[in-house]
Amino acid sequence: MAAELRCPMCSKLNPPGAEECGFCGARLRPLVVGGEPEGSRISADGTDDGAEASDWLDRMRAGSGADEFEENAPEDEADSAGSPDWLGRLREVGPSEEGPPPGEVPDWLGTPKETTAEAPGEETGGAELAEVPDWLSRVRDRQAQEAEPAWGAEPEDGGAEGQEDWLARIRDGGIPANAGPALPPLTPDSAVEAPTPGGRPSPDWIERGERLGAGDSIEPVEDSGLAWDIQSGTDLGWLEEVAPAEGSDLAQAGPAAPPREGWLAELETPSDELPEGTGEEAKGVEPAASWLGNAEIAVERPFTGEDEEIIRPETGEADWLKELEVGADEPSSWEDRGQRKIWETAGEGGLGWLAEYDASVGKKPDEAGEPTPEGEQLEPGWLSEIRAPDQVLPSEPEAVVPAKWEEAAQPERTPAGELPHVAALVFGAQEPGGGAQTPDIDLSSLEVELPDWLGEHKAAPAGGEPAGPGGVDLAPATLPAWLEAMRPIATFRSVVEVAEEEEQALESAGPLAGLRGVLMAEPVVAMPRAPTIGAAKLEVTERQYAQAELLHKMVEEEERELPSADRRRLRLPLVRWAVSAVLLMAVILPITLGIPSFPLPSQVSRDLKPLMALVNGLPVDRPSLVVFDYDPGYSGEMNAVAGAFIDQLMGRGVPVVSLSTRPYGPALAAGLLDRIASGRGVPAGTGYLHLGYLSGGPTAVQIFAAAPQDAVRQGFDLPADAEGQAVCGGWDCPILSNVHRLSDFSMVAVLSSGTENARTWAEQAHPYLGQVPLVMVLSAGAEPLIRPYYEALEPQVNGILSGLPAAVAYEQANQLPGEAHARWNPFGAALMAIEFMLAAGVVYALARRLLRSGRAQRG
Amino acid sequence: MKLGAYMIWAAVAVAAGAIVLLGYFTNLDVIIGLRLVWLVLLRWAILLAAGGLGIGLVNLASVHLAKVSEQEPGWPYSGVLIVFFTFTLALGLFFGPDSPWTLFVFRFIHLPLESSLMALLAVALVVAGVRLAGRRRDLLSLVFVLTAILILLGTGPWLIGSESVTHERILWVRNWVVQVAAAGGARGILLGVAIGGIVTGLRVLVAADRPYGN
Amino acid sequence: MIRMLEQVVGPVLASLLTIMMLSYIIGDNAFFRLACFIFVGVASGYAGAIAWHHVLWPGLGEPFVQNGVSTLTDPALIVTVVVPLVLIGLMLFKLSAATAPYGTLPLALMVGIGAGVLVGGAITGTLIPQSMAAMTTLDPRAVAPQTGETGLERVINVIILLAGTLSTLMYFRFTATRSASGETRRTRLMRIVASGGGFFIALTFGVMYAGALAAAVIVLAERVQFLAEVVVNMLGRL
Repeated sequence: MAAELRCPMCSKLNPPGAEECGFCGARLRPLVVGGEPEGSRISADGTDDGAEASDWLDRMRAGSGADEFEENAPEDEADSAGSPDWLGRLREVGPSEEGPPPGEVPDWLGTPKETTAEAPGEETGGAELAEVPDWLSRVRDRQAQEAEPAWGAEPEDGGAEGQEDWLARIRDGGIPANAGPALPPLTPDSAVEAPTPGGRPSPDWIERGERLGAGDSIEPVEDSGLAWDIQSGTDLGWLEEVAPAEGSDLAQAGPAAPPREGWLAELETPSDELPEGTGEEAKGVEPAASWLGNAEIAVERPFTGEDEEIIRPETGEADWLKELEVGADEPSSWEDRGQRKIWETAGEGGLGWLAEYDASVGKKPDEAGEPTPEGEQLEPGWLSEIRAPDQVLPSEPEAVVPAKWEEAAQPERTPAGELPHVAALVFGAQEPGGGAQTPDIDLSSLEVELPDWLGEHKAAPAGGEPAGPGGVDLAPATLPAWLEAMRPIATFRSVVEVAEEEEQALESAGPLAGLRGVLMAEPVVAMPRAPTIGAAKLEVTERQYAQAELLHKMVEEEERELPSADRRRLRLPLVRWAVSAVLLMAVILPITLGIPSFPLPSQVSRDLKPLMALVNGLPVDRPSLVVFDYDPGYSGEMNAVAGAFIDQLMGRGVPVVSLSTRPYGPALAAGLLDRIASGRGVPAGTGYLHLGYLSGGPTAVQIFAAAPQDAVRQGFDLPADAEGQAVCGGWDCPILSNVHRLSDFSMVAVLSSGTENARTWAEQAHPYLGQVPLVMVLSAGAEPLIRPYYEALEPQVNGILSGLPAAVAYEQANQLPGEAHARWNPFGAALMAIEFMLAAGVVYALARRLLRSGRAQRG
Repeated sequence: MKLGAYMIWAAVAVAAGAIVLLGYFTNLDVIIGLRLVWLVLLRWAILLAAGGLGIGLVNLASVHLAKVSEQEPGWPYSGVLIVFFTFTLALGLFFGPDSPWTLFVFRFIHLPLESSLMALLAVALVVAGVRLAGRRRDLLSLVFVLTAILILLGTGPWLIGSESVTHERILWVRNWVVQVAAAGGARGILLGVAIGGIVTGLRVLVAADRPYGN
Repeated sequence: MIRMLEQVVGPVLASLLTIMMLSYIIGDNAFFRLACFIFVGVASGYAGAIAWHHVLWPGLGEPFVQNGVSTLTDPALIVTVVVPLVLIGLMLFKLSAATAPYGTLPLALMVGIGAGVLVGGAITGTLIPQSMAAMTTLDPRAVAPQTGETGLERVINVIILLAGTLSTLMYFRFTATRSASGETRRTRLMRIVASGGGFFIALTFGVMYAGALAAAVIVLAERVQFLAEVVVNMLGRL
C-alpha cells in the first residue's frame, strides 16, 4: 500500500495521492517550478513512495543524479538510530512550502549553470566551503555542552557566514570534505558526535531524505526544539530536490574544505572531536546536505514571512542522517500537542519557493478575496497563519524583513554565491569567538546533534538589516505573548524572543477582536456567529447569590466531619419513679394491709336515682340490649361500674342480650355476663344471650337500629346442649323471639369507655328507639361529653352511670357489694396520693415563678 | 373537561352517600326500592368493613414478615408478633372466637396486657399533670390543673372529714363544675365536633375531597 | 384441661405478662417491648378470627355453601353475596401500589356510605338536638330534669351553660379581618368571647383529665389486686 502523506500543517495522515490535506486543506506537497517533484517521499511506514515525490529537491536531484540519494537512502535509514529529535520531526512539506517552483533551482543550491537561471533578486546562497562557518563552529561547541535547544536564541555571530559557506560549497560543487555535516544519528540524549575521522561528512541529508521517503520515519527528539516529522510520506520538499550531482560533486571535494562546525559537525563525530574536513566529505557526499537528506527541518517558531534566507542543505551523504533511527525518537512535546510547525528552510536570499503557495491561505476573511498580485510569491497556509497579519510576504527578496530572532540569528546577509542563512535554533548565546553575529538558534540546549550549518548559522545583525540583493535572512520568529504563555516546554521559553505587544498584529474581527498575536483563522472559522443559547451571560441577583452561598455552606457542613457527640448523661426518670412508687404504695397497702380504709360515699349523685328507677321499671318479658363497646384495657373499671348495673338487671330477671361493635366486645361480654349470671343463677340462652360482633362502626349501628336481624347473623358463645350443640343460632333463640326491631327491646344500655362510641349510639340509634330508654354506662373520662345528651329537656340519653363512686353507690343501693367495693380503698388511696402530687406540683411551680420574678425584680 | 376514572369513583361515593343521607331525613318508602337500596348499601358497608379489617391484618403480617426476612433492626420482636398472630388466628379460625381455647388466650394474654397498658396510663397522666404547671405557666394550664384537682377531690373519698362541711361544699362545687360549667364547654365541643363532621362529610359527598384516591 | 389451664397456667401467664408490661415504670426494656409485640399479635389474630366468624363467613361464605351455584343466578344473592365478594376482592388490590387503582371502587363506596352516615347522624343526632337543648334551657318554666334546680339558680346555671357553649364555639372560629397594616386579627369582642371559651374548654378538659385519671387508677388497682390474688393463690397452693 502506498504510504500515506502527513500534512505539514495539522500533521494528520492523508491518502498517498492527495494533493491537499483533507482536514485543513493545506497542500501536501510544495509547489515547485517545473512540475511535480520526483523522487522518493518519506512515508509513515518509511517506505519510499517514489512516485509521489514532487518537491523541488527531487527535481534538482534528478538533474544532478538522484541515484546517489537512492543508494544512500537505505544507509541513512540504517544509520538513523540515535538521531536527534529535531530530525525525527522531519515532516513532509507540502508543495507550497517547498523551494522554488519546479524548474527553478535556488541560486544557493544550483550549479553554476543553474545559478545563472535564477531570477535576479533571488536569494542565492552559496557558502564558501573552504572553511567552516563561524556559526557552525559555535554550534558545535555548544553542542558539546549538551545544552538544550533554545528557541529564539540569537544566532551565533557569523552563523550566516558559516551557513553561507556550506551552502556555497553545495552550489559550487567544491564543497570540502568537511563542508557538510556527517551527523550521527539523532537521539534524545545523543551528543553531537564528531564526524568520522578521516572522512568528510557527506551531505547525505538528501539521501537520507530519500531513504526516509522510502520508509524511514524519524521521530523527533524530545525537547529538541526541532521537529522533524517525516512520517507517513512526508514530503521533504526542497530537500528532495537537492541535486545529487551536487552531492557527487561534493563528494569529490577535496580535503581542503573547512571543517564543519557546530552541531552539524558534532553530529558526525563526538563533540570534542570534530575534525575538520572529515566526515561525510570523505564519503563523497556533500556534507551540508547529507544530514538533512530529504528531511525538512520544522522549526517551532512563528513564520513571519520574512524568512527568505534559506539554508539549503548540502547534498551528499550524511552519516548522522544515516543513523537516524526510524521511529526511535519520540515525538516532541509540542508536536504532540498539535502545535503546528512551520517549515523553515535554511536558505539565503529570497523566498522564491514560496511564490507558488496559495496566498489566500491563512489570510483573514477580508483579505481572502484579495487577488494574488502577479508575481507575488505564495506562501503556505501554515506560514501565513502564524505570520503576523501586518507582515506581508514580500514578493521581492529585498523586501523581506526577517523576524527579530531571525535578525539576531542572521547577523549578516548571505552574500551572493553563498549558502543562505539558516535561522539558528538558539538565540542569545554568544559564540566563543565573539563576533557581532549571534546564532539564530541556540543549540546549546539541544540534546541532539545538529548540522554544522544549522548550528553555526549566524544571526542577522541586531538591527535587522534586510537581506541584500544576494541573500535573504530569515527574520527571527516572534511569538505573541499569549502563545508564549502556552508554550509547554520551558526550555524554549528563555530563548524564544517574544514579540513586543505593540508589534503584534491586532485582531479586529471575531471573538478574539482586540487581541494581539492571534493566529490567523480560516475564513469560515473566523466568521462571527451568533452565540448559542447557553452562551448568555448569567445574571445572578443578590437573593440567588445568597441562596447559592447558603447551599454551598450546607454542602460544606455535610462534608465537615462533626465531632463525636459527647455521650449524653443518662437522665433518670426520677419523677416517674417517684410517682410510680407513690401510686403503687397507695394501691398495694389497701389491698394487702387494708389500710387506709376509706368510708363509703354517703351522698348519692343526682343521676343515680333516676337510673335506678328506670331499671326497676323495666319489663321482664322484653330483653334489654347491653352494648359492650369498651376496650379490654378499661375492663378493670367498666367491669366494676357495669357489673353493678347488670347485676341489678339480672337480679330483676330482665333478660340481657349483649352486642358489640368492637372485636373484643363479645369476649368481654361473655366474661362479665357469665360471671354475674353464674352468681345469680341465670341460665344462658334464656337469661342472657350474646349476639356477637357487629362490624362497621356508625354504619353498623345504623343498620342494626333499622334492621337488627339483617345486621347480626351469628351469635357468640351460644348456649349448647349436653352434646355441645348450639341450642339456638341467635335470633331464633327464645329470648329474641319477640324482637324484630330495636324498639322491641326494653332498654338499650351502652357500656363505653370512650365518648365516640356513646355518641354514635346516641346519634344513630335514637331515631329508632322510640320510647325505649337509652342508658349510658361510662368511664369517668367520657362522662363530660355525654352529659349534654343527658341534660336536656328532650334528652337523648335517659340514664347515665359513670365512675366508681356511682358504682359503689349503686351497689350500696342494691345492697350487693361487688367489684366496685373491692376497688374503693385503693381507688381512694391512689386518688388521695394523686391529689397531693398534683397540688405539690402546682405549689412548686408557683413558688418558683414567684422566686424568679422576685429575683428579676431585684436584679 | 377531561373525563377521568376519578369521576366514576366520585360519582359512586356521592350516589351512595346521598342515598344513605336521604334515609335520615325522608321516608325511604316513598320511592319504591329506595329502602332496599339503602339497606343493601349499608350491608355492603358492613361486609366491606370486615373485609378491610382482614386486609389490614394481612398487611400487618406482611410488613412484619418482611422485617423478619430482611432481618431489620428489631426483627426478633416481629417474629414474636408473627408467631402469636398466627397462633391466635389459627386458634380462632379453627375453634372459633368463642371457644374456650380462644377465650383463654383472650382472657389471660390479651386482657392482662391491655389492662397493664392502661394502668401505665395512670402513672403517665400523673407525671404529665405534675409537670404541666411547672412548664406551661399560663392561666389556662393553671385552670386545667386546678379543675382536675377539684374534680378528684370531689370524686374520691376523703380519709378524714368525709362528713365535714368542706367535703360537702367541695362535692357541690364539683357537681356544679361538671354539670354546668363543664357541660357548657362540652356542649360547645360537641357542637363543634358535629359541625366539623358535617363539613367533612359534605365535602366528601360533593366530591370536594376524595380520600379513596383517584 | 381447660379448667386447669384457667386456674393455674392462665393466672401465672397473665401475671408474668402484667409484670412485663408494668416494667416500663423502670424504663424502656426488652420485656416491655416483647409484651407489646405479643399484645399486637394476639389482638390482631383475635380480631381477624372474630371478623371471619361473625361477619365474613355468615355473610359471604355460608350463602355459597347453602345455595351453591344458584348463588350466582339468584338476583338477591348476587346483590347481597356476589357483589360484596367482588368488592372485597377488588379491595385486595390495595395491598400493592401498582394495582391500588383497581381497589378504588370499594373504598369509594365505603367512604361515601360512611360520609352519609356521619353527616346524617351529626345533623339529626347532635346538631339539632343540642341546639334545641341549648335554646330550651332559657325557658324559665323549665326545671332541670336531673338536677332539679329552679328559679334564679337555674337561670344562672343556664346562662353559664349557654355562655360556655357559645364561647366555646367562638373559640374555634378563626375568621379574622386584615387590618390596614396587614395584620390579621379578630375583633376585640371576638377575642374576649374566645378567651372565655378557652376558659370553659380548659375547665372541660380538666374534668375529662380527672375522669381519665380516676379510670386509670381503678385499672391500676385492679391489676395490682389481680397480682396479689395470684400470689396468694399460688402461695395457698404451695
